[in-house]
Amino acid sequence: MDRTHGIPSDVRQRYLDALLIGDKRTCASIAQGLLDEGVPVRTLFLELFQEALYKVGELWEMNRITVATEHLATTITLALFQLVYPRVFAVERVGKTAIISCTPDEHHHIGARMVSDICELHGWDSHFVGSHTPVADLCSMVQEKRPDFLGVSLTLYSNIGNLLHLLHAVRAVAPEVPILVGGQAFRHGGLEILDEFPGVMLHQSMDEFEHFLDAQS
Amino acid sequence: MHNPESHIIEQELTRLLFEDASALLLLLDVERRIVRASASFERVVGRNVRGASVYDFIVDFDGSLDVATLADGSAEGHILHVSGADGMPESYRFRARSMGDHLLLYGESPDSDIRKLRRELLTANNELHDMARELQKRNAQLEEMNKLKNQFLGIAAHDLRNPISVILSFSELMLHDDVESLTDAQREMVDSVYESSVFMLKLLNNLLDISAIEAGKLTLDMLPTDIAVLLRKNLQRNRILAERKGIAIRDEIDADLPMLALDAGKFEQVLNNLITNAVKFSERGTTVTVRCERSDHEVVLSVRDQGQGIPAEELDRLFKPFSRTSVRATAGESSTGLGLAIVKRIIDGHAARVRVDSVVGQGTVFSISLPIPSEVA
Repeated sequence: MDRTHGIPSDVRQRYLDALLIGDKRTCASIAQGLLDEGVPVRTLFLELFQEALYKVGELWEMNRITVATEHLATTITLALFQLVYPRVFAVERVGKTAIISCTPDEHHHIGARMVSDICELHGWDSHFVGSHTPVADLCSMVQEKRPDFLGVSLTLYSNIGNLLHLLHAVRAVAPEVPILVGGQAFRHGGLEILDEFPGVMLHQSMDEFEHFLDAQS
Repeated sequence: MHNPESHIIEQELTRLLFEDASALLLLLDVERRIVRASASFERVVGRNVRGASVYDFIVDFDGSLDVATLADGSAEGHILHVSGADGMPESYRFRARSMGDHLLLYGESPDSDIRKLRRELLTANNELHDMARELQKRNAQLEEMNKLKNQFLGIAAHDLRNPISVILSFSELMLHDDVESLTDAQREMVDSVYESSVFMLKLLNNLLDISAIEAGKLTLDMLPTDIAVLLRKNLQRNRILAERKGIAIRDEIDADLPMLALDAGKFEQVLNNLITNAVKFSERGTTVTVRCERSDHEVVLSVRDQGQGIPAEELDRLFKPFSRTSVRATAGESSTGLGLAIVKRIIDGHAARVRVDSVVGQGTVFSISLPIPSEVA
């Protein structure tokens, strides 16, 4: 898979400018243009979608944009995912399964979706359950599907209580299923809280995560 | 003298403001600690705030906020961002008023129903996207299964074609090569074997075509073609078949038709399918009209019959594989249900359009519009 920095900076800037003013049409045409040029889906995810959303987050933190603009950017990005699905789901299967979930009540679920789609790009069958699946239902799903791992994303560290509750519950019913935790919440540390859970790993970068996927396949 | 009743009223008003009303009220001391907060503010931040610094709850993005400067009497107030119970900041418009050493901040709380609706909308939006993703995934799986189905159809049709060709050619031989030993009854049976194998071979050929086309293997050999010559040659053959059924084929072919880039073999298949269909659904004594005319940018070829017509609600499914309509062939001819699906796909491959117009009781017209290349037009 091509992992070079493939999208020119002026294109990325044009995309970000369009995203910030809510110009979905321009965003879609830039993304579609890149796909038509043969830019890999992974590059599009990481260099266009993820990078722009990180910048949107930074601008919000600096009080340069409102929460409404941030939500709009997220909604546009979610809609753009539709463009890449025909390619994401067309990859040959490797016979591995993952369940990807957000921490309950976590409204930031775009990162988890991206992780789920990266799984598909590596030929994994990923079940994305979003952020509103009750923990009990998630536990039943893990028991039923016996995935090769469960991925959980946490964006706001303040929501760690819900993550711990989820980990306790899943461990109780499926002690053998590996659990991967990731997300923006851990960018400033706070990992030690996961130490008490056996078989729970933290992945802090997409590269690290993809190496894990390839090693399992 | 102090009126005890007005004292009670004031107390009750204060209690209402701080405990029941939706206003965000914060009374701060000189060190900007919260002396009293309204219940609605504590609901927003999710905890008891008395005694805490106001800066613990106001998100100060660039560290320059001085709450004291807010008491400037500004009529519009100031937008402050309050860190909500879920970690998300919410923006409120606050006004400030000095009360001696104390400062009262009072903010407008968006109606709680609106807040709730906004959350629900966000949740619904996320769920909608999750469902769209799942749908796309299922679509991809269906496409994969469809591909496998086409592969299977192709293999099955290919492998069945050889034995059926053997049955066909031997039964034909028995019927036409003066095999004297057959009784009339036996000849009838062999005839039935022959007719059935002709139909099976046609069905298999159509299956092979449709599976190849659907698997994206339609390769067109586009060459400059004189469509008038192609048409006349084809009509000659089809006229013989039509006359057997007592149906006339009339042609109206423009004299100045341009050369068009066509795959002649595949286009002939289209013509055959349309003309044999028109004959199949026409009554004895009627006419099928094949017209080919030129306009500014296209050549329009149409096949018109005077048959039973197709009900409007059935027109949509006409070009789908294996779809049947309520219209029946007039002499019990068989139909594979694939002919028009193949026509549609071949015409699409020529970047042309096919349409159907039909009036029940009057007949049906199939029209093909072939674009004239700009250098020719």
